[in-house]
Amino acid sequence: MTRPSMDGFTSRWGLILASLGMAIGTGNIWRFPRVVSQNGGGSFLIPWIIFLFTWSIPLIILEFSLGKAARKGTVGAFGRLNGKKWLWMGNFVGACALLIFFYYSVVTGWCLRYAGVAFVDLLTGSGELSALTGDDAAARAESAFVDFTGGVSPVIYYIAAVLLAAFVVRRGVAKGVEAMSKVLVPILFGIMIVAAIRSLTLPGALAGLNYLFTVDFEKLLDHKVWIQGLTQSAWSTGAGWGLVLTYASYMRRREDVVLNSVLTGLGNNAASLLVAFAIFPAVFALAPGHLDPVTDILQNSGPASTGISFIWIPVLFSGMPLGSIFNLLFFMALSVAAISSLIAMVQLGVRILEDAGLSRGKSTAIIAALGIVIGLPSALSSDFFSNQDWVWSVGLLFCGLFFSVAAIRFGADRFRSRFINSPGNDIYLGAWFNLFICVVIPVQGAILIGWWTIGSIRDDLRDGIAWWDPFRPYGLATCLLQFAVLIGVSIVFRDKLTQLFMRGVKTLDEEARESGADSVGEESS
Amino acid sequence: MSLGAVLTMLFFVSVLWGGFAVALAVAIRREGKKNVDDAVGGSHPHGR
Repeated sequence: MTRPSMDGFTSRWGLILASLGMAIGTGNIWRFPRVVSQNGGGSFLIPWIIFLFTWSIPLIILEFSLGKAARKGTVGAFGRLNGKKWLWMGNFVGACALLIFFYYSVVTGWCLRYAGVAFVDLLTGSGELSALTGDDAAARAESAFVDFTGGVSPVIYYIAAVLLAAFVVRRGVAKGVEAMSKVLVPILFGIMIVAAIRSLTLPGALAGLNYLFTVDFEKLLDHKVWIQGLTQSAWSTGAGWGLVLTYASYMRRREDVVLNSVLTGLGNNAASLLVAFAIFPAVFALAPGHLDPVTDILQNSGPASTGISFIWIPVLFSGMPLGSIFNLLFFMALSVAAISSLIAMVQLGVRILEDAGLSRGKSTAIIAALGIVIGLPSALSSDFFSNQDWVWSVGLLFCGLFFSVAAIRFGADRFRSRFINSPGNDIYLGAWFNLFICVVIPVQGAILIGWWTIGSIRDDLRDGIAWWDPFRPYGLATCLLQFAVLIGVSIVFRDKLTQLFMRGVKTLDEEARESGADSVGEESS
Repeated sequence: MSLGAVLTMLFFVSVLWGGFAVALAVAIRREGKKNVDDAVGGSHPHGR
């Protein structure tokens, strides 16, 4: 049981690239331009960057340090930190990330399919995407997307996505995750840079930049802009998902925590900005003149606002020279970003099962099988997909809160001095960081959850909808029901969880007492 | 582009891309130093 894994990252750059690959996903390419546009363009960027430094990077630091010290996945790490009574928190975090994996694989499948179609288009010169010209191009593109997602073919693509990610994870951290990240992440940045340069050199591109960077300070008085800024930051960086913790559990003993966390957070948002440089100028330069406002494309088009990626990008790029090549580059970037994030999610599940005593092969097979079976409803039903997206994206906010609560329970100062300021660091954090652990993160989380709860009930009451109905896809009650089921399972099976994850495993405090060492981080496993 | 938009763009580019570049440069420098220390059998000082 719980034998240590000898596998791990062989270099700092491998770890950083894998962390960047985990963080940079469809949230940067698909979600970010839409959310910016829906929340006032340049005005949104201000809360977005503030929350990078007050929520995302501090949480990434907590995850990196806990993973490095505990050398376990989410469930075992929470148990090692505070004892068996806290396993349920780690279980919630891990389950939340896995439940996102189950429908994220469907989105990844869409990306793979569109990349494949773009590739065929480029070869043949007359295919599904390159034929999208004329006034009704967007309508035909939307119809094609709805037909595709409404059929059974997404099943084939999401299964392919799950098997691809599982294949990489099965090869191990060094030979699979690290090796693949060293290839995929530079390719991703390369594609984004090429796309941004092409987009910025289009006639009329400056209008897009002007929209992107014009701040309307009145919009900053709207609380929704701030809430969306925090949500996007949490979503995009992967802070609080447990994915960073999982990768950190494989990092070298004398490895930096703080600077690696800063690189992950800044790198992710820098990538989002690069994507914005590619998308906004292209939309403003290429959008048909009769569209007013042009930002409608970014904000509302397509089912579940999927329009910018799967409907308008093929249409807009088809109208410019070498459009087929840029269609392919865009969907390659989207696919690479999605796959590198999917690999991290599979690795998270595999690490948890490995901690429970299973081999990597068995763990990978089980996670892949679960991904295929539980992902099926999301592939076949857009309502189910939307419900899962709604419920578990809210769940992530609780996950972030749980990390700070666990650190507070352990003792913020002890956590900082023993796990964050651990051997091998390039930067050491002073006592001021305790304020982030004890006040800044929990207060932000509490305000956000409180606003979300009150807002959901108020909006439903205003619209005459039963807010307590747990079977509505977007309500408050469906979230509470599914969270309760998840926590209830942890409570009912707490003895089993303890047996699987804590038998023969010492807490970090017990380990420190036995070794007489203060720095537990390098002592584990 | 308006002057305000240009200044805002410069701010975000310098904070995010500039910040990332500086952090990367520091990491490369420190990593190089650690490798040299390891090669000569030295240790890395660390505080709390």
